[in-house]
Amino acid sequence: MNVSINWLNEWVKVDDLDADDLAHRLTMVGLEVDGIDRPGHGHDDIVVGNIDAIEEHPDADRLVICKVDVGDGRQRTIVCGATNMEQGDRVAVALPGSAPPGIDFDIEAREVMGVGSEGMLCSSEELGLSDDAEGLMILDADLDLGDPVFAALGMQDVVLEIDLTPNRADCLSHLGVAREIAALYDRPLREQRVEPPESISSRADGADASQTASLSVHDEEGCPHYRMAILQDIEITESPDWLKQRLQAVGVRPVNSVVDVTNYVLMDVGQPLHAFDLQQLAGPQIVVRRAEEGESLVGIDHQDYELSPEDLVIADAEKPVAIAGVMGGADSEVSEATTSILLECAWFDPTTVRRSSKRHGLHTDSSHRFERGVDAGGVGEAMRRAVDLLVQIQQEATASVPTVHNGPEVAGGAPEPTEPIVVDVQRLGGLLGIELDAQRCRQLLESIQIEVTSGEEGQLQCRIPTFRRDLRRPVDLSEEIARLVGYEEIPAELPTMIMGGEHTIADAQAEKTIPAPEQRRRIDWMRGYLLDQGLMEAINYSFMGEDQLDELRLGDDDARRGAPRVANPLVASQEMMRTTLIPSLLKNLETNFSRQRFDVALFEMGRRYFEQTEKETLALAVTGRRRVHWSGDRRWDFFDLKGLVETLGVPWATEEARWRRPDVHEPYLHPGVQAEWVVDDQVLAVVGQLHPQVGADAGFEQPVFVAELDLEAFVDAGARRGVATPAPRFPAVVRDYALVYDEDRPFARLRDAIDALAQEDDAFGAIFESMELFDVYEGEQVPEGQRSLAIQVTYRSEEKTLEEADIEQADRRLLARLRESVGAKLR
Amino acid sequence: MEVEQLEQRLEQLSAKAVDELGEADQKEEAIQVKNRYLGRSGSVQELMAALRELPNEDKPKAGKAINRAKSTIEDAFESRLEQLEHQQLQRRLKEETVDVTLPARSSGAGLGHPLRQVERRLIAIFEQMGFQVAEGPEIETDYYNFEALNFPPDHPARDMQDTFVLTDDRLLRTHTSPVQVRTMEAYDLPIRIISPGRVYRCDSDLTHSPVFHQIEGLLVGEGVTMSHLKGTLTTFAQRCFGEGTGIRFRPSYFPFTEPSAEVDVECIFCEGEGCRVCSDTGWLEILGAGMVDPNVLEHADIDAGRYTGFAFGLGVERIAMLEQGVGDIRRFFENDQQFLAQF
Repeated sequence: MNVSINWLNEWVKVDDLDADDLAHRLTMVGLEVDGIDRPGHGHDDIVVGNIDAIEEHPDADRLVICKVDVGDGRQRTIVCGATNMEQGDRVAVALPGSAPPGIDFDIEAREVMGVGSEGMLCSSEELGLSDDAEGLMILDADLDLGDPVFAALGMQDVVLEIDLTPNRADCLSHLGVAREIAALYDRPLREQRVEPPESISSRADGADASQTASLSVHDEEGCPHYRMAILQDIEITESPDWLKQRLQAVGVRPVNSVVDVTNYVLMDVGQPLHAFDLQQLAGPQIVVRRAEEGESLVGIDHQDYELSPEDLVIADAEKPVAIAGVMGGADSEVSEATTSILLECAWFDPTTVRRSSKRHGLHTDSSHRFERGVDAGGVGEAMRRAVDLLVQIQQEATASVPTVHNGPEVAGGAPEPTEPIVVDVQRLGGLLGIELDAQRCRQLLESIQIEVTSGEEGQLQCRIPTFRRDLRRPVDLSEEIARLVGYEEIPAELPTMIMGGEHTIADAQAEKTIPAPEQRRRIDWMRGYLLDQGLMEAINYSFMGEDQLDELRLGDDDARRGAPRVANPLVASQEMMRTTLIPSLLKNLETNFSRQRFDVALFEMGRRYFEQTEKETLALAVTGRRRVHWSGDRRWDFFDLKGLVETLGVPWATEEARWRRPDVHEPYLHPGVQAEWVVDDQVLAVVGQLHPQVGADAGFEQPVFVAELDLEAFVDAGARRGVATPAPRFPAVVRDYALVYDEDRPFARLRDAIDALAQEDDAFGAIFESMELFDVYEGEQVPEGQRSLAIQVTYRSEEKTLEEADIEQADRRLLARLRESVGAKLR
Repeated sequence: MEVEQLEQRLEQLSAKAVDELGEADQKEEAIQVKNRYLGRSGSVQELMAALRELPNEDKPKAGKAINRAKSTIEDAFESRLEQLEHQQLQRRLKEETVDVTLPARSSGAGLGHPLRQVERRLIAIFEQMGFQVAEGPEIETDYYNFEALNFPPDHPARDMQDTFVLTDDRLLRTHTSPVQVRTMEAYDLPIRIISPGRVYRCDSDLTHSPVFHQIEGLLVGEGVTMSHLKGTLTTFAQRCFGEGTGIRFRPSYFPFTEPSAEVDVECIFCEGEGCRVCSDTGWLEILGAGMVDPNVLEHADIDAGRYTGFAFGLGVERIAMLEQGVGDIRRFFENDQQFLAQF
């Protein structure tokens, strides 16, 4: 909402206030001033001049040479291209060094076709006052030479841009802001404003609009209050300068006298009005009703709107002519040919207007106010003001007067007064944490036109004015008190209450929102570990696009395609909620590659979203060099990533966690380089190399390794509980074995076979301590189709120092078992 | 052989042995020299035979001479050995010396995302102030995101938060306030929580991201006042932005609080003097806050006649952008490694 100080000054004296201070005080009382504009200021070098003589330009037919007096005792020569001026005219002279607001360069003294020109004579457009570029702006002859033009025209103003919160509908007008200022500075509101020189409306009181048009309201819920007035023999003119200036100051483009008056009243008191061309209304008749299925309306914006039965419309005898409170129709729009108008001034139901406005994507000055609630008590006054102005303007412009029929209204006169709000002063002060007495409270409330009477002990009865629809409950008044007292007056104190313990609500259906400390600790630990390992943390949007899933080559029936969908995404690539974090990380790699960063290691902790649940997830993507060093680089590979994932599980992973090749391949991973980590068939993590084709499609020229982990499985797993064993008393014996077996049998089988032996064979189990793989070899000396795995086994007894015979026995059992279950032989 | 001859011979042998040991460059060489003289068939050992043939009265003298020669050679051997070991160590140390100014070998420590760093810092401050972290779903119902928070259907206040819609009833939460409602439903009073997390609004430009992070706080109990709100946020501001940071409250509007406040913090760049960042106001708008609206309490079955509460909320991106000098919010979500490495 833009408010002009000149305009406000009609309601309350503000022209003596410092604008910055006023802005600050308004901000501190809840009307946040976002900006201050000072139109007409800072142009003291654009002054009133007199054209003493006009001479032909010697070398240019279209230019003339003006001799101009700006009151400084010498005549200036200014070359000009306009033709509308005459000798003796007063004009606006932009002196060298000035910068007229309507043009984007500075004026300087220069030669124009061989003649020196000391400035520029300005058109209205060049002064930024209108679109009128036709000729010079001719000023009143009584203006003093040399005076700054904007000041002389009364066009210096200060405009405050107020960012209003939705509750303060009452401040969507100059009157509303003036009320706040009156309260703030303890100044009287100028209720008795300067009226038009002659109030005409009284003349028409006898006439009835129903003589020329009938009104029926079929939907009193949507429209509790409708007034109309008819003005016949109206002449549509240009508005007087003062009116145009008012509107321009607050950013409204002047159109014609009728439209301008409706806009003026809207900006002045906050009441939207609409003017119909009476001749274009069938009947003539006004019917306020819901639209019928299939009806439509071409708005004054020339867009076609399909109406629905939920839309409240203003209709004539045949068809809708306006969407109530939102926009009028093009057919009945006032034009220069209009000779009589029907003026509407109504109070529409906020919800109804809001729904129509939303449905049609039409946000107008009118709908903005109706949906926030206009002053139901001010409708009549607004109408009177509009009619008065129209009559006055026409009279001044054409010396004719329209015939006014000030019509009947629906649903009675003033709205029902609301029940008074009873506030307990003590309680009110208690909520704010301040000392408050009834006297002070009363004063503050009365300053914003609330009628206060004393109720029972310590209570105040407050009758709320019709323009403050936002005040309905005692707590609403607490805010009024707080902001009038000033928030800075409230002392600061630290609260001592502590969070309640375990919840004890019996029917605790509600899910707990406070995670166990252990869960948060584990997340922190995991994050810390990955950072220690040199990975960077990424944060991506929670969205993904269908095409990203296509790029992952996911099948049509892949569960991840069943992601929750956003009905109104900003862009198609954000149409779904992520069911995997991998696409986001791949996109991050792309970004890095495009900036020639090829060593990238990222992880992200975020959620995957499904119809019923959201799963905390960790994803990793690594590529290029893990370590860069002059002694030799180290590139990321599958086993690096597998190691990271495995280590993340160390503090709590159970012994049962196993790596395996997935039964069903992840389509976006290399079929031969992917693995899943499982406990009891629950997949904790998937790790692999990005499928070369997926990488190639993305333009990646280097291998990429990715992993995705179900964080909740990691976080919810039981804690690892260690039990101490005694320190070893006897030495260990270490044996190396080079074993050869079929290359398609995984190492895991060998390990499992040894674990099983240790479980089943007491003698072996008693001395088996650990096994470690230290070499994998394929090639010469190993038969085709086989590979050699070198393992080191550590034996130790808790009872004695092992002897050669013990080891030999263990060897035999181990080798027999490996031959049997894996087909492995000693090399 | 006479005893004198023997003595002389031993003198010569030991002198020679000492010389030879002195020339031995290797430990092994020194051992060979030692063995050559003192070994079982060494030169000194051979003279033992001569001793046996000496008259008995000469034997003690000869014996002494032999022992003297032995110990001379032993001593010379030991000291040479020590010398050699010392030299060897010196050689090794020299060989092993490296240019310690060469670059280190390390994967480098990774860095937490700038937004996460800020979020963690803020959470830590509030946790220290006795607020527990609460979490909830990001896909919410209209009820939890709006209705229970006193945004009636068709209320213009809903326009303050452009909402991503999934289905008729499901949406992406526009703030973390639904967690407050869920917490009030599930826990006993007093409630003293913060709810950090992702939130969503359909808006995207230099300072608005469709996905961003909020931290909201809630305290509900008996006798909670607006003074408590001011005290809490003043303490927070000082711990977050530094001792002595000014803070101001001014009236605002949020459907779920009444009275409501915008909370400005003294500009961290110009300390209130006025600069480009604070648009010359000296203040930065950082938090929204207020006393919990009675309707919100009633929705959660809390007796608003008896209990009161305050709530506040702030945007992590906003603080990160200010502190880290990030002008375009989208940079946080590109995850350019070089960008991330700056924080």
